[in-house]
Parts: sequence; C-alpha cells; structure tokens
Amino acid sequence: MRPSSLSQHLDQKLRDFAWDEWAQMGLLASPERQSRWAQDPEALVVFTLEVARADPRLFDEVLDWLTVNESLINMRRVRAMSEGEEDELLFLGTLFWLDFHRRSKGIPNTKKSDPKPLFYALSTAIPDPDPAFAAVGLIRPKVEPTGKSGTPDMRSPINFAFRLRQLLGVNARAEVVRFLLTTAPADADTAIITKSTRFASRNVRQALTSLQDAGVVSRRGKRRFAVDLEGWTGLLRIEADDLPTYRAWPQLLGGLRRVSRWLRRPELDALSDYMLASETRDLLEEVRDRFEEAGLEVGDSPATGAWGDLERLLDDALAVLR
Amino acid sequence: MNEIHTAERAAQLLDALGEQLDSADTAYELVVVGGSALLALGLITRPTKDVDVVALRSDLGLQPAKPLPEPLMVARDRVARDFQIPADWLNDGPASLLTFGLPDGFLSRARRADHGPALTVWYASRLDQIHFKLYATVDQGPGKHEADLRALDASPDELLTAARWTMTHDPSPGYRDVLVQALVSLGVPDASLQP
Repeated sequence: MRPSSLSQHLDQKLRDFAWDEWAQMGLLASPERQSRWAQDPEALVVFTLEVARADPRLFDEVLDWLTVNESLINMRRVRAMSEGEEDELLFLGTLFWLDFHRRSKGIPNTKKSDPKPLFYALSTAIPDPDPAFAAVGLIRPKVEPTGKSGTPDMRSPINFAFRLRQLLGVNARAEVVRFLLTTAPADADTAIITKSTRFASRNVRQALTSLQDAGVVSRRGKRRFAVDLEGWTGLLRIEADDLPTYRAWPQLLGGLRRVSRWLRRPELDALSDYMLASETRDLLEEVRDRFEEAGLEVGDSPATGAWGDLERLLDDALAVLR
Repeated sequence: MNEIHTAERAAQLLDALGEQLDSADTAYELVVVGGSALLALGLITRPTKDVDVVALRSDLGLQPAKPLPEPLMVARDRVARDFQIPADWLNDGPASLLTFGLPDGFLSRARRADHGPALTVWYASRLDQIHFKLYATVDQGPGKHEADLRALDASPDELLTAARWTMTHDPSPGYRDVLVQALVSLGVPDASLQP
C-alpha cells in the first residue's frame, strides 16, 4: 500500500474508533459496540483533536462534550500528553475556546506562526474564523457549543476513569487506582505506574503513599504496589472478572497520532522505495518505545523492509482498538 | 551480513548513499580504491568489508578524504542503519595515500560510476590498484593484498612501475629490501630498484 492509501485507511479506522469511544462516553452519537476496556480520557482528547482534523463534525462534538463534562477532565494532564507544536496549538485553541464559552474569559493572542487551516480539507479563506482557534493560528469556522452532549454512563467499562474520579477526585490517586485495578491482580512497579498515569513521579509516589496509608493499596517489595482487589470490587459493586481491561492508551494513541501525522506528508508517495523505507525507519525508531510499552512488536527489517514493518505495526495496533 | 559480497551489493549501498545525499541537498565525488573498487571493476570476486575512500574529487582537483565531511558521514550512517551494516562500511582508511601522491595519471585512468545525481564514484584503475596492492603487500605482509595482486595478473613491467611509485611513499632501505623480496615472489627476480 502506498503512503497516501495507508494514510486514508489508517485515518478512517482512527476516526471510526474515536466516534465509537466518544459515543460511549456521552457524545451525541450511537456506539456500534461496547468497549471492554477503561479509556484514558485525556489521551483520547489529545488523540481526537488530531484525528478529527479530517472530520469537523467529530471535532465539534468533542468540543461540545468538553463544555458539558469539563469537570471530569484534567486539562493539565491533557497538556502533559500533548507532544510537539501541533498538539500544543490544538490544546491551546481548545482551552481558549472552553474558557470563552464556559467562563466568558477573553481570548489571548499567542499566535506565533502563519495561520493555517485547522481542518485538513479546508483553506484559511474563512470569512468569520473562530477567534479562540485563530488566536493560536488555527483557522476554522466559528463554532458554538450546542449542549447536545450527555454525561458518561458511569457503569460502562469505558468510563471507569470517570467513575473513579467521582470517587477520588480528578487527581493522581484516581489514575493510580485505575491502573492498578485494570491490571490486577498483578502488582506494578512505581516507574510503570508513573509512565502510564502521566503524572509527575512525585505526585504518583504521594498518591501511592496516601492510598497505602488508607489501606486500599499494599506495597510488595521496595517499589511495587498492588490493590486490595476484594475491597475495591466490593466498594464498586463489580465482580473482579467484570473489571474493565487495561490498555496503554497514552502510548498507543500517542504513537498512532504520530504515525497518522507522518503519513499525511504528501511527498512520501514520490519517494523511492529505499528513501521511503529509510524515512519509515526514522519514524519507527521514534515511536518504538511507545508501541512496545503498549505491548506491540516494532519490526527491525533491513533496507526496504521498514515499510512492511510499519504496515504490520499498524495492523497490530488497529487490532488492539477493535 | 556484514560484508560486501558482490559488485551489485556495493552498488546497492552506494545507490542508497546517493539517495541520502540527494535528499540532504548535497553531492560528492568519491575516489575509491581497495576491494570494493576491484569488485566494481570485475577484477576480483572475494567479499570485502568496506568501501575505501582515498580522496574526494571536486573542481579544484583531489581533496583529502580525512576526515569525511559531516554530511557524507550522516548519509553513510543512515545507510548503515538501514542496511544493518557497520557504520564504517564507507571509510577514509587509505586517505594517507594522497599525502605522498597518487600515481601519475591516476584520475585519467579512473572509471566513473554515477549513483544518482548526488554521488559519483571514481574507481581506481587496474594499473593503479596494482600500485596500491603492491605497497600494501610490502607494508602489511602477505594476505588478501597479495592474493588481490596475483588476481590482477600484473606483468613484470607493471610491477616495476608500481614498485618505483611505492618507494616514493617509503624510501627507506628496509622497505626496499622487503619490496625486492616481494617482487621476486611475484615473478620479478631481477628488479633494479637502486635510487
């Protein structure tokens, strides 16, 4: 498959995935399935702000969802998961838009570079651009919240993070417990918990200490921790077998976001097989750690084999999303 | 596979190097000696470990290859990574040959091979390789260099011409003694190499 074809194929799959996830989280849409995993809301926000650049309706529905459910989201964590200038602009534009519509705050002008279209299929020739996104140089038609979004069904596995946040607050403790419960009965090293929750290691250590002091998390060895599974399932009124499953969403969605952006480069189709493979190797080395942390194997074929490695990686990653 | 087994393999690596250089908007002309040059000219069939760059060619003539220019090394390292071969697959090992001078008429005899718009390789001719291989045989002892020299099937006249050139690189009496012995073993028993 040539790059442009793979790009279209991947983006369609990622948009379908995003719609299905958000539909289970309260967005005005009908989900086509029920996910068995617990979603990571902030990882999904950062991911969707990118993939929805090819689907304005999805982008605007997510903005609307955020106006209704912002209290369930940790915007600092959204920012922490943003990588590079594009993510940063999308985050800031969204933040300014929420500030304007939810808190009637003025919109600062942080524009540093030439304006560019927010949506891939649109140009910047828009008579009445949205001021919040225009402030960061992203041009799109003005958008208002519709209030059509609902709140997440806290009993759905996918919304497990929200349920824990209702219980423990929108903080590191809720993320630590989500990680430990969805990976239970295994214990986990502090470094792994930190990487997955994407909080500062100090915050994670404090959260683990306070949860240990409260008697709901136990230490196993110097840096390993586990939850009191029976106690938690009793409290949450859920069978251990019915606990949502774990996915390394920040790594998986971050890696897919990076690959999706990379594949959008129009010059890729014109490259020779060797140069395409060489540039693909650059990409694979860049995303290797993220996908391997998500349990996926990243190939290391020599010469022109790198392109095949990417195709196999995407097949495997998309299978994880199904 | 860390060795360059065939001329086609060497050409594949150099084609890739040319593409990397072109992608980086830079271009080089490399003057190459040694096993890869012999492979490219069809003069030997043994595998070689690397591509030996003796000089860089430009409008100003031949320039020292040591150290290799940074953009060339970056491109070389990318090819090494892509093909999973050692980073020194292309190196400036024989660059010191240029210091004392290449054989007269070297460049006019070199064979040109283009590897895309950004890379031209000038392969040392058979006669010049006889010069280098004789020098290496005497300098480093018998082994692959002597085997290459025999494969080149040099005539006595060619060996004597080469021998005189090698003495411009090492004029010591000790070197001359070993050189005479080498020539004898190569079938030139009456070499007159007196200064």
